[in-house]
Amino acid sequence: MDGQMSVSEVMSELDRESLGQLAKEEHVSHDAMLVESLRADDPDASAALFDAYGQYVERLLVRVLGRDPEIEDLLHEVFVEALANIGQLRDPAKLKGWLTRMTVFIARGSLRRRRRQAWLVFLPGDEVPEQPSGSSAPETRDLLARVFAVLRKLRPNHRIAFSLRYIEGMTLPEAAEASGVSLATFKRWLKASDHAFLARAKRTDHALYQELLESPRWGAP
Amino acid sequence: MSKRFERLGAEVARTQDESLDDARRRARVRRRLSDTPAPPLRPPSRAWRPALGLILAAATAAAVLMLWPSAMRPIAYRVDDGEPSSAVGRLIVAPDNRSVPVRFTDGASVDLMPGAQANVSELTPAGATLQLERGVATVSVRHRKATRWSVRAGPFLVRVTGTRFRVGWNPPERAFDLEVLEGEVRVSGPGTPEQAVRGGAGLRVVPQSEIGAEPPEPKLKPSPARGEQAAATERARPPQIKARASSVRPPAQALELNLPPKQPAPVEGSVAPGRPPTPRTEAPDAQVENESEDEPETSATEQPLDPWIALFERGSYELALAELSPEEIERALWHADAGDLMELGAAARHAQDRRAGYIYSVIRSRFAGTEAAAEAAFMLARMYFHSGAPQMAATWLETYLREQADGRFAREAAGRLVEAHVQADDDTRARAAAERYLERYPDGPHATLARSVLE
Repeated sequence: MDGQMSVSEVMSELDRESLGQLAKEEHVSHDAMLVESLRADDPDASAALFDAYGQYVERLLVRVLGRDPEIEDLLHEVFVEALANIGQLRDPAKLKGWLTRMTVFIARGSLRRRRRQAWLVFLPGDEVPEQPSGSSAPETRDLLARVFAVLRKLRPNHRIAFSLRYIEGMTLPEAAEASGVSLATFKRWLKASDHAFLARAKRTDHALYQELLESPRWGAP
Repeated sequence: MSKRFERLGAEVARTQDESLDDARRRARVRRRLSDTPAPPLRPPSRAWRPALGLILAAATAAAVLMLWPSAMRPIAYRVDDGEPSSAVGRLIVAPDNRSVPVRFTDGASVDLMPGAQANVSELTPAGATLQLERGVATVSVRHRKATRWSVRAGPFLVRVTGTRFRVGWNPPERAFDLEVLEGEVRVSGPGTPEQAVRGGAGLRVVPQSEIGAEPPEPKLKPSPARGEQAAATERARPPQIKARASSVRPPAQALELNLPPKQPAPVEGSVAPGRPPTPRTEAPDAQVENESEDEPETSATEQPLDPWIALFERGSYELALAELSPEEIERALWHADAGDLMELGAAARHAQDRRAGYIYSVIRSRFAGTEAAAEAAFMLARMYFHSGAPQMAATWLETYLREQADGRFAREAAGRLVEAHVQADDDTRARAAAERYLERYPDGPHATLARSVLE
């Protein structure tokens, strides 16, 4: 050996945590450069931002809204808003969190708008039933449709709390940060969403309610 | 329980991720972003700037308030969820598919029913004047010491101090409708001294005379109590409109009498309500009937039939919705009898035609106090219920139950009221509705739900 450590040796030197830290630092550095390019009006920067976070933002929107014909427009709206407001991002290292808050804010606006419109318009909204394409089993698709049928009846903040915590799998502090509220408020929302989900399922989809309470599929009763 | 939700959520996420594998949507958005001109960058926020702005704004507002007492400021209003406005004379148009709320800063509110048009023609510190150009509006004014509120509808003026009422104006026919729900209003019109109309009463004015005849005489008609079939029939009768100088349309009533008696259309399930006596098969006006008997063929051949009449005669309500022009539909709405309109409304609802709400609103206005009007309220409730607006559904269900406590939809309405309050998460009202339901219908189809609410 020429005195240098091989890759495997280097890897073995690094524990899991430090690898994670390295990735995070790289990420932060990448975000800082990205924000700098956007502020400098680099013509390729907006595409780079979309390439870096487009899929993440789309996923968040789908988590909150389900299968929805508005997703494409909302995805576009998030990035248009982000590009217009990038000057207001004080810490470039927090780009992802900032985009997350913006996404949740826009999703909440969409949910509230529909709720308002539901008061005025006689016909059902344009939300479409959950019916994902792909290879998922019919019972899984059915479950998805039924869960979102219940979620659609929840208040926007409760629906967001449920989606971020349980479907996206965020930790409580992450979900509170994404929702733009304190941890205590988020916990209150989440508790209310739990109750509302169960109550709604009990009234409108008793089979789902029973399954949630009794099926070993979701854990020990 | 949260562990179960976490597992459920993870399962949902796995299924959703399959649809996220499709990159086509992202590609389209990426292309749209690159096609969109770069928005101007907003400058970094400075926390003190908004604060300074707020302080300055507050100081200015305080100065204005001190120099200009609130009692001197005209009230303002807000249309839908729009910005507060003090604009006078601006036309507010409610589309055909929904009502438009107008909220005033003195607490008054006006709901323009679908298709209605109005403008605020005057704003004062004590109230406003609303000019109803056409359609139906529900007005609610809070009583205060110096309230000066009025509604103008054509040549009619409704003065208000504190009340709730529904007013309708149909310019082509010069038909004026008023239904006072609470309180009292004072109404004046051409050739008529001002008169009071109290809660529970209605007023309908329709031109009844021939060309060049005297101006219409307002007839005060109390809203018929339940069971007063004769009065209900009278109100359900189409406006007594005859030929007028301004109208090129033939006198519809006379022509209708030339047609063979209509075969009742089949009633569709529980949707179509009982048909009130159809005026055209009776003899609503002896003079008209005699005229039609004297010259039946002449009038039928010389005057073309309004197309809606033939379609309604055949019971072709779906076809009417599809083929009639907006003007023809409008004429039908203001001439047809309540039974026809209920069936037209049902056809619109089944076809998910957005005019259904407007049709039922017209029925409520034209036939106020009748069984048809109450059933229109029930249909509106069902529509709101299915469109995910349980609070609005509950309001209309309560209206139906108030107007037809023993009506043929009473049991269903009482049960659906429980459902609506439950869906609206209004536990107090849900419990009250459940108790009322169980008291009347202990074995009814909603009894299980009602008991679960009370548990």
